[in-house]
Amino acid sequence: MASSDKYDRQTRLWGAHGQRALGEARICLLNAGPTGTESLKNLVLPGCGFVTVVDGEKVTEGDVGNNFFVSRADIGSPRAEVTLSHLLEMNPDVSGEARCVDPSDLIGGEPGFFEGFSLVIASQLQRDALLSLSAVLWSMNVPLIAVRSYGLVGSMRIARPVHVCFEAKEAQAVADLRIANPFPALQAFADAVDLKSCDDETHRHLPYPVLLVKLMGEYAAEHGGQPKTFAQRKAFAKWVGTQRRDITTDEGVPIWEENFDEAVANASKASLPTPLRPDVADVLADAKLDALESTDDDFWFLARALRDFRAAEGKGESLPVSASLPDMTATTALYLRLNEAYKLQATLDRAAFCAHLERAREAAGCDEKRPVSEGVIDRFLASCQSIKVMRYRPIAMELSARAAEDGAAAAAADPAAADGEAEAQGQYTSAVKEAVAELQMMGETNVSMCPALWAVMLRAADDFQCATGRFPGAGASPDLIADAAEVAKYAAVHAAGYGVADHVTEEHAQEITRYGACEPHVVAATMGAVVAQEAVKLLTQQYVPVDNTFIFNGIATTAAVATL
Amino acid sequence: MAAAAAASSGDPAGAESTGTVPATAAPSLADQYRSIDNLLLRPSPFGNETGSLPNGEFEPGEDTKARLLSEAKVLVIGAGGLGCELLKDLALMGFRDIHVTDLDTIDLTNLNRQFLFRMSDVGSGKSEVAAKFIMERVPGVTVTAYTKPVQEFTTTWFRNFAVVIGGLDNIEARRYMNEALCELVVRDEDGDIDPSTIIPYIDGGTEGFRGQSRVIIPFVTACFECTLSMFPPAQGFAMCTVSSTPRKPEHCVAYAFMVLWEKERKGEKLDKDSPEHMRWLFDKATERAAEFGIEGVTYKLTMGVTKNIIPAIASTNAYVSATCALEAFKIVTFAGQTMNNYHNILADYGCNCPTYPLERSPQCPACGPQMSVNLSVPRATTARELAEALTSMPLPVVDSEPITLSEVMIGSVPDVVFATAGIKGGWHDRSKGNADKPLSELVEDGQQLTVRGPELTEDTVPRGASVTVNFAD
Repeated sequence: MASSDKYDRQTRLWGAHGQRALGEARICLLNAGPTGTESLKNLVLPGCGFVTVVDGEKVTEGDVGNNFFVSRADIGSPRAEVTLSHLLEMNPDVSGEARCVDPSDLIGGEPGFFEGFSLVIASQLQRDALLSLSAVLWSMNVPLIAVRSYGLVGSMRIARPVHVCFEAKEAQAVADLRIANPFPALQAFADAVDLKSCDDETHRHLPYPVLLVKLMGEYAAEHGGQPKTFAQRKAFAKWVGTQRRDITTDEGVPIWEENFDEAVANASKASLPTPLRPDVADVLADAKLDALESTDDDFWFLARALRDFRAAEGKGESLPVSASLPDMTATTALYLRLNEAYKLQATLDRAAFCAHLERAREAAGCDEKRPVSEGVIDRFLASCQSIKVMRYRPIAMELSARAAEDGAAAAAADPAAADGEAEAQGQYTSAVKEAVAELQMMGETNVSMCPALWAVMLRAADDFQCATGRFPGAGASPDLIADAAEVAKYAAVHAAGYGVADHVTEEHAQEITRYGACEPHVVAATMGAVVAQEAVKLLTQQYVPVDNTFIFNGIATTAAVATL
Repeated sequence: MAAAAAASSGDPAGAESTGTVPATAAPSLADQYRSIDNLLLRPSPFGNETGSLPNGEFEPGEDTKARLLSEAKVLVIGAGGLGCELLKDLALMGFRDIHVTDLDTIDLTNLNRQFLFRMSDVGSGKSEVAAKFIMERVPGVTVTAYTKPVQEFTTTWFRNFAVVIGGLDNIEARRYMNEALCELVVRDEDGDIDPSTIIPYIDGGTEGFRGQSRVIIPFVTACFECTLSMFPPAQGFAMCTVSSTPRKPEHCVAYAFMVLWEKERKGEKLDKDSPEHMRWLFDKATERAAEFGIEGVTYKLTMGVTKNIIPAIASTNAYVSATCALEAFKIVTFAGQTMNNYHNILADYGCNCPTYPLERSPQCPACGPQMSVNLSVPRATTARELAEALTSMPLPVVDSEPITLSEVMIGSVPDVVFATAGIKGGWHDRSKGNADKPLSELVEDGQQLTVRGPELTEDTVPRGASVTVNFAD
């Protein structure tokens, strides 16, 4: 073994700072059935700091059959303690506590318990308890992941007023090399180059940003300006290709100038300032930036400074330059010289950015003695072309769109839902309909397996449970046919609301009913994986979490995300 | 429950077995399978037969449950990130006769996801530690551990299994497994597949927040070989960059292990798990970087570049494994539709997770068209007459159109039985002495001979062409 870091394979994704965020996290799990323990398993392994397991059950034989974190010897013992002990045994870096109490009692009787958690994972929580919990956590600004496994179907819902992604890591987001609007050091490098008189070795190793800035200058001088139209930009790219030199080795073997390949590939965009990614544009347009308060997260001050920098030093079109240059054809010396130019500009931009940051903080009355750390500023600038802000729809708003008569009552359970988006109150989102339409557009004639339809069915099962006190098909010798008929009625209401009445069938109701609320391990493991994946994103503020529901259909193994 | 007897009486792979024969499993508990009973015992409008990749008809009841609990034997390839999860998932879904092979030993860096291993297990064999853990935790389950690469099992040994699941990190083992399961498929004289010889191969893979699971039904869905081009070639470094124009710290590390190791430690094999070797490479890369003024060489980077380390996290492994185990459950019980046939999870940015069918390739060297002609002829038939027979009529091709040969070469180089005049390479001249000899002097009864001809290419018969000569008298 050549590495002494057991987290090596994950810190290559989220870095030491991401690992630190996980290590400082306090996670609360409600209900320690397999869906819950599988979620925690995937968070204890990567080193999440502290876990609290809340569960009021005693271990049964059935638990031994679907929950890996209980054993035969544990039958009859409190499930919270048993699962916690088996979970912690996996990773000595993690500590935790067990609360042997029914989560519903805790939510109702001791809501203050949830203050201070970095994340609450509610597994298999029934609707009323979930609504109460979501209202409590929303007001505390504690993120909630609600997860359930139900037969072969599963769902995971995130709720949090606002989530910010410091490092969204959008694949298409690449650093702006400022070819269209070169900064002085880059322009100076290009100006110092003479493509006609330089030796062959230099000619074939000039980094392509330098080539493009140089050639753009020549083109502009000759044509009275930079290429503007699509045709002109294409013509420029073609012309760049003609500026190659015929070079051969001493033995007469031709050498192809690869730096010109790179220049041609980037030439047609060379006169266009790099546009903001839509996610970044959204952040910079966020009304929050004009109403900063001293208690706000650093992110908002950094975003405000970014906006101000772009308007001032960035002349309305550039973000701060990144110090790291991607690899490209060049000699070591030419590459390092170019990298120095970028580093120099990055230093200047950072200083200007920090001045904006200070002004924004001062205006909001932030404590001077608690500045934004240098490391946070560096990381923010390194990934400022890929930041994102997300605002979640409250769970109460989703569930208020149930039967009309109790819609208002459900909305009242969540005060946050009541203000702001009044027009959306009680509305089914278009997500389910869109999901079906998308499948149809791809040529699918049988949409019965569309994951979003199964989210509708879970709601119908919950309606049944609210009305009867048991889930359809559950309990001692249930009448499956009668239960399914009842479920179908509830499903029809939601299907109509979501605009998919034609696609929710009696067969869907029969399938949901046959499950009888069973919790098979593979579905629990699938959902637990998704919970942990999203939890890591929420806790590290890296990557982009799901907005807002992940639905798994294990009948045909299809899955989708929908905003419900 | 008589569960234990059923679970432990399974044939531990017969003569092939080098597996660790497990201690007798503890008996299953009466209520242990409560969470899957409803799935197995109650009727479903969405049984396997209703799906787009049907394998069988769902018949809810105790027989189906017994097929899962007492008959189904499953093989897991790999006991690493995916394998640990798969063993747990299968055991808790009612599979009680599980076999697993892995030649690796446990490394410290496995512990962030391979949850059956502890610090004290570092250095021990993965499959054995994993098997023991599962048997201790889940009553009624037998896990037999092997420590060989799949390539060391003979193809026929895989016949023991209802389904094979791959939790592998390399392409070569997947290709071997895929080809073996393709080879096991038997056809009757009409070329129709005997469905009982089809063994589904379920395969998972991950990289960071991305993963995929897929179901391969040989000769029905795309096989691994059909879609080999989905795996991009490993990212390498241009040698001239590494040796003369390094720009990035990665280039300096590459120089240390591609150039300096060979030069300065000639004859010594680079052990990428040796701390001493890694430290040496790190020091050399650091020197190289200093010489060129390049920043950023770290020990971690040295490891990453040298070992081509792929990031791996618990959640993606768990997701991919669970979906693979779910497919195994459905394929054995028919209690749901088989995934058709590729499921992706791309969770960096939101979660994009489409399921779609990968198409078979008509040029696939593992499951593509093949010509295999059976001829029954008198012993006195001459080689020339055999060639004439093979060029006189369209010859049937499995899974494709018949082909008429203009020229033919029978037998493989250099043992060519006969080649017609138009075959290039001088083989006609070298074999024409056989032209009028009776086949009984040239080949054995029932011998299979390679057939070549200008119409037989990698495109028309990617799995080759042959004729089997049977003497009628």
